[in-house]
Amino acid sequence: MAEQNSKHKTMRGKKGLQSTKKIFSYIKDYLQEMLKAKRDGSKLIAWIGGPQTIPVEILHAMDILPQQIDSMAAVFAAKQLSERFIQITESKGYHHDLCTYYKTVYGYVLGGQDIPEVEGINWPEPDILLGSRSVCVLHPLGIRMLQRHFNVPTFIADDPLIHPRMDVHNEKDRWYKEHSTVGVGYKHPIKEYYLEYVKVQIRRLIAFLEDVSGKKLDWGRLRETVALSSKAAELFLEIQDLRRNVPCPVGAQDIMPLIGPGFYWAGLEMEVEIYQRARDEVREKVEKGEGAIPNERFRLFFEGIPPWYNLGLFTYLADRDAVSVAETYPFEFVHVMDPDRDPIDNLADKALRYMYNTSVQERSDLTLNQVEPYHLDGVIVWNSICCKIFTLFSPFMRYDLEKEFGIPTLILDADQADPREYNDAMVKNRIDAYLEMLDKRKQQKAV
Amino acid sequence: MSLNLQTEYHPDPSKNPALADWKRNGGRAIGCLCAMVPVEIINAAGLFPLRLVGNRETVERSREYFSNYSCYFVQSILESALNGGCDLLDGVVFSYTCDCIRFLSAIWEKVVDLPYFYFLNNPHCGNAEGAETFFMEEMKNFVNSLEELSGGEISDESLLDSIQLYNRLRSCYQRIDELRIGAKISGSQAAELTLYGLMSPPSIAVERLTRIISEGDFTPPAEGPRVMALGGVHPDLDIFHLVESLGGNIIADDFCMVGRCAEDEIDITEDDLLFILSRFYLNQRTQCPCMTTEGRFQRRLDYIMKKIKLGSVDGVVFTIQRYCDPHQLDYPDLSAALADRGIPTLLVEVEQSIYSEPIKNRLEAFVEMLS
Ligand code: SF4
Ligand code: SF4
Repeated sequence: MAEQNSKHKTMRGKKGLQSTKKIFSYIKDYLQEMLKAKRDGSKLIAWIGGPQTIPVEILHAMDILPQQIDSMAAVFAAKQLSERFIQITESKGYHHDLCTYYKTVYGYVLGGQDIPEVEGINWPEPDILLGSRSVCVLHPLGIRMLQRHFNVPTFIADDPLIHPRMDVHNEKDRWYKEHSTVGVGYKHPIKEYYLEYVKVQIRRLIAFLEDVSGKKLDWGRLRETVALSSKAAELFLEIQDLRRNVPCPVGAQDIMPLIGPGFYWAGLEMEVEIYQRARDEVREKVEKGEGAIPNERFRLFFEGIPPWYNLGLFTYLADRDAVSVAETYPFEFVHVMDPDRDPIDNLADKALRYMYNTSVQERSDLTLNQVEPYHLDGVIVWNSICCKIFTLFSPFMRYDLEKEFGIPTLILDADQADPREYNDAMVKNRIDAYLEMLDKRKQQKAV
Repeated sequence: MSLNLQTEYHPDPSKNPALADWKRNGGRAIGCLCAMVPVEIINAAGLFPLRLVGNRETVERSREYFSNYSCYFVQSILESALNGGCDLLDGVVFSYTCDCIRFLSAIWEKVVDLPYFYFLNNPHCGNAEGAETFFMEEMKNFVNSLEELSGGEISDESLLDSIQLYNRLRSCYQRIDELRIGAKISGSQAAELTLYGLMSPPSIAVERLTRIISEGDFTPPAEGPRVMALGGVHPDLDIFHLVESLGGNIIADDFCMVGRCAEDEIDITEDDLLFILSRFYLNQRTQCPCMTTEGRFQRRLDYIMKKIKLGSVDGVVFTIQRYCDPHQLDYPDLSAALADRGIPTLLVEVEQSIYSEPIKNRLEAFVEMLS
């Protein structure tokens, strides 16, 4: 059902799993819940920028409804609305190069709500704003920008990056071979005062939420949400493990929408249900030897944020027998925790060990660790040009990949939410040339 | 005024005579990025800390390792290092200013071959509970690492001496700032003196600046429009000279390598010197657009308004590096707030050079409008 947007030739993606097709209906239900909360004031709505150090497990335990800036923007982009919103924000003096997630959401706030196509995704405005630096410096700065607009209670958690001194670069361990979940978060010891600092931030967050909601956190419920979040993480990571199979049972079109549940609903039964259903479907496909695409020839790793307005690019790849078997972005949101541990310790660990919070070298190593178990032929970067976290990482990773494995990287400049810069013909030409080169490499290897 | 940019110091380490002298005498030197690095500690270890401000050379080699979707300031530092421009340094200390600097530090560690590398992890939310303690712990590790490098202990006495020395330097900067806002010296003179302080061994800088200030042999700026400039780092005096060549004068700025150096002295009333430093760096500098501290935006606006009043500023020029998220994000609300207060503003986007025709023309029109 690929829809064409004539101006930039963007297409929506084709999903393969029944369970992922249903995600949008969950989002719609969640929207209804938010609208109701807005009408009757029964629950607070929190907009979040910078996940992980703002654990949604805590919000769910307190009946506060989380809304992530990134997801809101991604949905608008997938619905082909982001361009108009971005233009509204830019008309206020925000630079063309700034993060299009924030520009999309801010454009919606500044006037985008009046566009008729928003019907069905008209997210209600926030009662509180929460931010952290766990991914990028822009997130908390963007939340401050929204704070200046909304003037609602705002909380910023400060959280330390894992710095390079803590890495153990030379001991390239290979435990990922046993289970990918081990290869996902930061594996090395973390200094005690780092953990302590993040725990202070999480406790501050709880105090803030108790204050604005007038309700105390029920610690028993928090234990439950943490346990559910961890169970869902195991299921999600099991799906990732199953993707090592040849042929790969599920590609990025399905995995990308599956990010949402871990992002919004970590700690709810609903998250577990969604991942369980998806896992069952993927497992069944593996048992039947069914691949995500009919004829799998190229197994690709996908780095960066996908151009949400054009998930049809994955269909383009599929038509050329290429499938994305692993990506970094989805790993970002889930974390396996120990239900017997103190929930604050668990959540602090989740926040600190989270991939985008690690040192750049460690993040690159995490990518390299996927090469062998996922039988990768190549790596494509959707280089989100508005985002330092991706554009500045891609040359670094390309350097490592070439050096360690001789794998060439294709870097495609394409913003995640702004279709204006997207050049369909050029992107497709470069993909074609890249696949041709991979093909030659394969043939040479076979000789 | 007896200071000559070409012969006495240069923002580029490889061309900095003060650094060459220091090295000739067997000293060691550490480059710092950016204003969040506590230079007092480096100096207390007997090392010469100097700020890296980049340059305007064309970026080529760094393209292999680094993205061009980064501010030019950061790209030029890597380029310079790859071309031997940092060879006189024994190492570099990075703080977590912004994501461009964070990624620069990562590739630097891999491809730039200097003996010393350090990443000092600063909190961004200066008034968050626990931030001061956390940063103090980071500084303790930094002290250990510098002790290892220098082979000697950083004693409390040496740290106290160092803080006091930098306090004297700060009062020089304050004096320069007063002269400037009183239109006794031009913006470019003030910038030159301040940059000299950041690029010279502190004891020499204090002595030299104190002498220059007491001699008072200054040329007042022309009586043209009074401009305040805002924005990120500039590697040289180009923006000051350009505005002066158009008949104006940058009477105030909020650049972290010029105007903002004229900050209050560090108050040494507590015992724990590292805690004092931690508090100072996190809380004195909260107007930096990279910080997420509660109230930061308002403080920056207050600072700007104070300078506008004191210097009877006619108009404000934003000079923002392309791909600089923190400054770009501050710009719309800040310029709107200034417009609300009846202050004309102009936005100038800076990449490699400031001397492009379009920038010149727009500045010219702006300065003309203010006259
Ligand atoms: S897209 Fe990039 S800049 Fe924007 S919020 Fe995400 S990580 Fe930060
Ligand atoms: S100019 Fe902006 S982007 Fe560049 S280092 Fe400074 S704060 Fe970062």
